[in-house]
Amino acid sequence: MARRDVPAAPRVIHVDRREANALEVGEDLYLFLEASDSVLVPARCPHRGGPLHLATMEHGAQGAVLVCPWHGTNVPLRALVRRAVATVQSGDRVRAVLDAPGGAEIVARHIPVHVATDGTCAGNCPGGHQKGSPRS
Amino acid sequence: MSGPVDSLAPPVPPPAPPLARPLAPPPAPIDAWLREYATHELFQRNDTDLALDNPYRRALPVPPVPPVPPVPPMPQDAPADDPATADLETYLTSDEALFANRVLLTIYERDFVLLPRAEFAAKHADFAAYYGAELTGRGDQIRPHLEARLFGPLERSIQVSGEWTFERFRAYYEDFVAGYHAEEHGAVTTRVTTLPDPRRALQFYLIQAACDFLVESSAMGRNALGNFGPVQSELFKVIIDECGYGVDRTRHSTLFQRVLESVGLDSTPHSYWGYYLPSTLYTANYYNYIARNHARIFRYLGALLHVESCFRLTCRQMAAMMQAVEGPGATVDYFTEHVHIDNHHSRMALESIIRPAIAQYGSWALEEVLRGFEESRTVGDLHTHGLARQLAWMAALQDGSALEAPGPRHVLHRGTLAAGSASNFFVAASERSVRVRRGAMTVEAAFGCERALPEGATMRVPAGVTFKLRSEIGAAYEVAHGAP
Repeated sequence: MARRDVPAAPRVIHVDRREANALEVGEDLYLFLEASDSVLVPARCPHRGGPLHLATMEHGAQGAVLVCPWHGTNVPLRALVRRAVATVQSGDRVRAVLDAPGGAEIVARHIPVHVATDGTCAGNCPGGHQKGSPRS
Repeated sequence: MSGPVDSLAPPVPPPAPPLARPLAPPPAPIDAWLREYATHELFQRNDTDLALDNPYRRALPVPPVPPVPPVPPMPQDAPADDPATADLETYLTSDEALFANRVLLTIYERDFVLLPRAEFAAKHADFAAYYGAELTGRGDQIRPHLEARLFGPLERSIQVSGEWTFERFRAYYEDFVAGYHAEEHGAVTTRVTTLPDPRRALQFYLIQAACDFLVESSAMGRNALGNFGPVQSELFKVIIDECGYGVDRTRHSTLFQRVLESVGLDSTPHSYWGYYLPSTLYTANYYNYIARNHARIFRYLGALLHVESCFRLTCRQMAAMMQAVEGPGATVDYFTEHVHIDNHHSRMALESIIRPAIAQYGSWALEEVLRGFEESRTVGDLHTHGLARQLAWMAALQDGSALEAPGPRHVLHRGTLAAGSASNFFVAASERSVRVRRGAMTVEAAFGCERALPEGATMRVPAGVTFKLRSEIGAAYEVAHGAP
């Protein structure tokens, strides 16, 4: 649990991208946007904190948007990218620098992500599909 | 339709850093230009692979067209000549990469003033050709294509994203320093001391270091000129330290000359040109690459911080290596000087150079600093891996464990050596087996580190190392896959 009396300070987290696609920071969740890239975005809906890793994807006038499963809020991907965490990736190794509340537990792990797009997998889903293959 | 997947979405990728875009495919003449450049009279090799006190004569043997193997190539022999797709480290262990790095360093160092110590009149024609219009013009045409080949994969291997601030960068840097103990490099310097012939191993190590240390600060000196205010002045303080404040006997390259001489090596730049590993040349080229194009000035500052922060530790290991091999009276001034001064240089680089540069030039500059730091880290790792591989190979050569029983092999190449001749240095892209079919020859892994092979002998050469063959009486040999 984060201690509110300890101010947020930059903390460096090492992530192996072969093993993790998300960071849990206390009660917050951050997700790597692409299976092989370093863009790490907040995965809580800015409306009421809904779980964007369970969102559906649509394409509209705003470009790609995530539709939050709680209230249907459209969250433009580019807005998430603007709030991306500072990261640097070299090969499979990512170093992320988060201004985390003091004492907040930070865990890098792999979580299943639930996105509706065109009926194909966007990565290594639990069903073991290859990227781009039809989902069953 | 929806289901669990691994990432949020396939978004529009973030824009590539302006300097990370690969060049367009080279025009057709590039290979012809390379061949023309490398076959200039100045760059013809001699069998010794030495160029004593003549920094203009640098052998640039063009790698042969891969011979058509008599059997279908094995998967591990897929050509490693496409750095856009090949793993960078794999690419660096290829004849093509050795050649490209030799040519590129030759081109870069035409920007440096290099003069022989003696007999200049006899070398004046070489001097004039090296700095002349013909090689300069062709070199300038070739250089961008070699840079794209060699450094495009490095640039593409690193991504910077999110909002960086100086305080976040400082946290990242402090995390690096706290976790950096130079274990890999320490294993290399320890290995030097434990080889059957540690003196030869030490000479090998120092020859690789000499590639950069004898022209130390020359690449960074490219950034001394111009007008960029206080950052320029602070950077210049580091440069004048490297130059010994104008006192020749304290100039860092002078100190390193004494180190070389103390172990019986020639101390003029690039005397052992033919003995450099591809990873050694790549390292020297990298710092020229980021310093020569001033659009990479901030990347250079990040690389400078990385090097200064690591060198104070690795120099301590090098001093210990020298003393373990040469005894307590070993010449270690070069190393102890860096253990001391680089504490100051790393602090100066962070607080007096990078911090004000970011404050003045903004977040783009910071992203470049980060990129330079990470690139330098990757290049340093590649360099250390190259040393470790070659030392393991030298140990196997010295203790005889590289000798193996002959057996059925897929032969890749058959060749002959005339009496009194020597081959180029090869790079073993994957494990190889060398068998003497007729006559006798000597395998050389590093300067003075060699083993005689009589007729019928077979030697295993591990992947990623360099070696050359020579014969006093003439020999026929074959190079085969390492595995039956």
